Amino acid sequence: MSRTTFALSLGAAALFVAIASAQDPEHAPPSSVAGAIQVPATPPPPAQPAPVPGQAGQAGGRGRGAGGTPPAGGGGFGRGPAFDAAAIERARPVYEAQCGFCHGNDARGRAGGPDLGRSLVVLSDTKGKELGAFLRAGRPPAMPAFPGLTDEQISDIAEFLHQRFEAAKSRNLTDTMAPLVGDAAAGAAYFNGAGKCTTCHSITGDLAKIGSKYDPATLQDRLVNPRPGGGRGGQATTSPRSTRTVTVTLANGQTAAGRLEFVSEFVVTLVDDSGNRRTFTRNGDVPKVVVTDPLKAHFDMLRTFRDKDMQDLTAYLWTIK
Amino acid sequence: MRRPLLALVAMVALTVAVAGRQQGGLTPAQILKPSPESWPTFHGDYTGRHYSALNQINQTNVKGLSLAWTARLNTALQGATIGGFGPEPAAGAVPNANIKATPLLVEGMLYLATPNNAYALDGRTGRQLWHYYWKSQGGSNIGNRGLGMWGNYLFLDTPDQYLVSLDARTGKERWNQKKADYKGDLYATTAPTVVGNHVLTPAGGDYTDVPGWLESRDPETGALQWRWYGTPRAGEPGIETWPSAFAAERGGAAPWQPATYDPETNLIFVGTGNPQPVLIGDSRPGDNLYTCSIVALNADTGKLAWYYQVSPHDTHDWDATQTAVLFDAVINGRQRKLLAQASRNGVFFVLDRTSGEKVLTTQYLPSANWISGFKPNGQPIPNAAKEPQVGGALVSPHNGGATNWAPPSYSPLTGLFYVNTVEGYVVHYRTIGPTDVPNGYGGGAEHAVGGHGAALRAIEALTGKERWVHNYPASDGTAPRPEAFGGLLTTAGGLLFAGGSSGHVMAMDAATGKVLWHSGLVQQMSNTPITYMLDGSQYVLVAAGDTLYAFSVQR
Repeated sequence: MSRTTFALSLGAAALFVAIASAQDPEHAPPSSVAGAIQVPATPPPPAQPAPVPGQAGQAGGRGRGAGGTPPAGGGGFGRGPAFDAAAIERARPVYEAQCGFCHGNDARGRAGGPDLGRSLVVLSDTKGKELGAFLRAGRPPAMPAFPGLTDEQISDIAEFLHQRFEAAKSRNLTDTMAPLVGDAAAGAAYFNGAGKCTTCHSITGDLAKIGSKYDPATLQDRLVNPRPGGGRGGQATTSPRSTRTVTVTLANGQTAAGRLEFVSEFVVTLVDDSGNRRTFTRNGDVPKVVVTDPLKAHFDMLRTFRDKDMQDLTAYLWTIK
Repeated sequence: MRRPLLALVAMVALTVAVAGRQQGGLTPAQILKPSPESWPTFHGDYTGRHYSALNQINQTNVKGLSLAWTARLNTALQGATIGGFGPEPAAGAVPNANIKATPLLVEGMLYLATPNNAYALDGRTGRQLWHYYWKSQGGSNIGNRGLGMWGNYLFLDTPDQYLVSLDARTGKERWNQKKADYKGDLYATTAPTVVGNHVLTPAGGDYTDVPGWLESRDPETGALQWRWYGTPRAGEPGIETWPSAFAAERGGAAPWQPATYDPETNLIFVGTGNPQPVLIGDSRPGDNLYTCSIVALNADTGKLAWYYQVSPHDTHDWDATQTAVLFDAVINGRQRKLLAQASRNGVFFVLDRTSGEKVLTTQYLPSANWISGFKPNGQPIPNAAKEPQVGGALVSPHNGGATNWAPPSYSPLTGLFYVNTVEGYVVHYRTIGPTDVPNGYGGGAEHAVGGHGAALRAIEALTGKERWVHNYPASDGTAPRPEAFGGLLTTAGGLLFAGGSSGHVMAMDAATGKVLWHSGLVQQMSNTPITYMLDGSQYVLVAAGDTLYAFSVQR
């Protein structure tokens, strides 16, 4: 996506908020949503200062570095250390005044100075110890010494640089996510029409107040597939409404049915209505095994779902408060 | 034909010269034409087919395949040879093994690796002979695909970017060579490939915007022979596909999988990694050569002979490192030297391996939805609307790809290319503002939203048509990562060995996909099956987690 398109999308989203408010008071977003960029999360984001990307506990990490060896650079993929937001705020003006001219205020390097994100001095540093020794001595001829920086300033700058690159390489940060770019009115039309959503769902029944239950990104993920799982960023969820059932028909014509607990090429296990667990050996097509998935329509939709319909639906469901 | 012939003569001469420098073990000539009774390289041989000419185990008797032995890797450090420069591991800190490696079987002994560990076992019994442990200073422990071998020397890639050579008879360290500083977010997981007197080992990573490269080292000393960077430097061909040398030098393209090799042309074939930054391409407009490409390099110089980019300007983490499988066939009356790759992006490519010219490209993953068309040379044209979007773009395949590193197989008996696939979907979000410059994976978020499960597909190599498909039932309605199913093996017994979807290994009729035999494992098969023959008995060897299972037909 070009930057222009990005700006246009944001503009369009803001415009949509305005239009939706004017034309469709019932579906107007709550006044707490000031614009598309600010995304109330569940649970709500912490108070100011803003959440610091790279804080420990971010979801969706791949678990690099696990397994007995200290990870390089404090982790990765959003599982990095917690950062001191106050130190970063203190560091910013000092960094920009002392370092930014050569290394850029983004620390990605300029003609005068290298990219600090690829600097082994920075990547090897622990809490300003190595960085401090380096800054006090400099590296002639290009890198001047900074003997005047205090210990606190150096440790703040180190925190700023470590946080900067931890944040930049992390994925699945939701603090700036803004998927509310769709058209709620078009989403309503899709919901009630082409999308056939009303076959199973109702905004006054199972989907009542759905827009208050999830942040927009989670809402969108769940409308695509209420039972995601597997793959990076997926969060398995279960609901009685989405339980798969199975009917097993034996060679002698007897049948057994119940909740599908396990299936492979070679066995199928079900739990029947009485709570009894039964496992049947499979040999090719015998016995006959028919699995019923209430989410079949969602899976079928994956092959044809248009991004615009998905985004419009999200915008619509977000208004169901 | 003159030049390939000359190259072959040179190769044989080199082989003889090299072999003369050491005694015993695996000679380069044996790697060039391996005995079917051995499994001396990651791929079994240089073609990458994961095909064995052994047929003692076949469709008629496979029902009688039974357990010969199991072996659980002992990770305890007591008695192990220890190398490396990292801290002493705390008691109990060494985790259980998770075997992703393809073991080597040479002269009756098995050699395999897990991150920071190398092992030798007796191929007849599974008895552990020695254990080597490398104290890493850092890096990623995500996996190790195995060892390379030359003579009596083994080669181990470490998470903190050393290449270590061991004596295969004792497990003692011969030398270690630092390839790069792991603090720069570089690591290696591959099984080194040995070609002539070259040990090929990559460097790469994907936390941050790192350069990726392949380098060649001397098997005797570890000295650097050549290095090929996956992206061009200032002034080099291909730099016009990047906005700047700055971007190209941080542009990724790590060739992190074992190579294949054609001795007649002396070319090695490797797939390269994705570009960096990974998900947001703003700072790297252009095709970003040679990322997501199949490249042919001269084995002696590392010079690029040709390239074929399978995903121009990738923004989905779909590297093209899947095995470039070599086979020959007659097409329109003409004998062709071919190369096939089922790529992570969901497209199957067949190329002329002497030139890189397209023979066939076809989408093999039904759900793949990012392609807006194909160029005359067969390259897919990415649909820009499927790049990460602020409002989300529903994209297939998911991050794990249509397929991943676990090797496919090609059987010359059936002419079929076999590959484990997943029809997964992900919503790709753009999470950064228009002026931010991302690094690594930053700026994008991938939300997995399930899919249509995993399947083993048998593809006609010369037409790209799907002959049969085996859906893994336990994966219905989910989208696991494709490597979770392990790799594949075909044999002259008409068999295809694969992992089941729920902790099984099974043998199928390679022509039809009919399951003929299976056995339970302690967990999902985690590596790629191999087969070998000792004392007149053919073994099939697989791993699940920390345990190896050897099967044979009892006589």
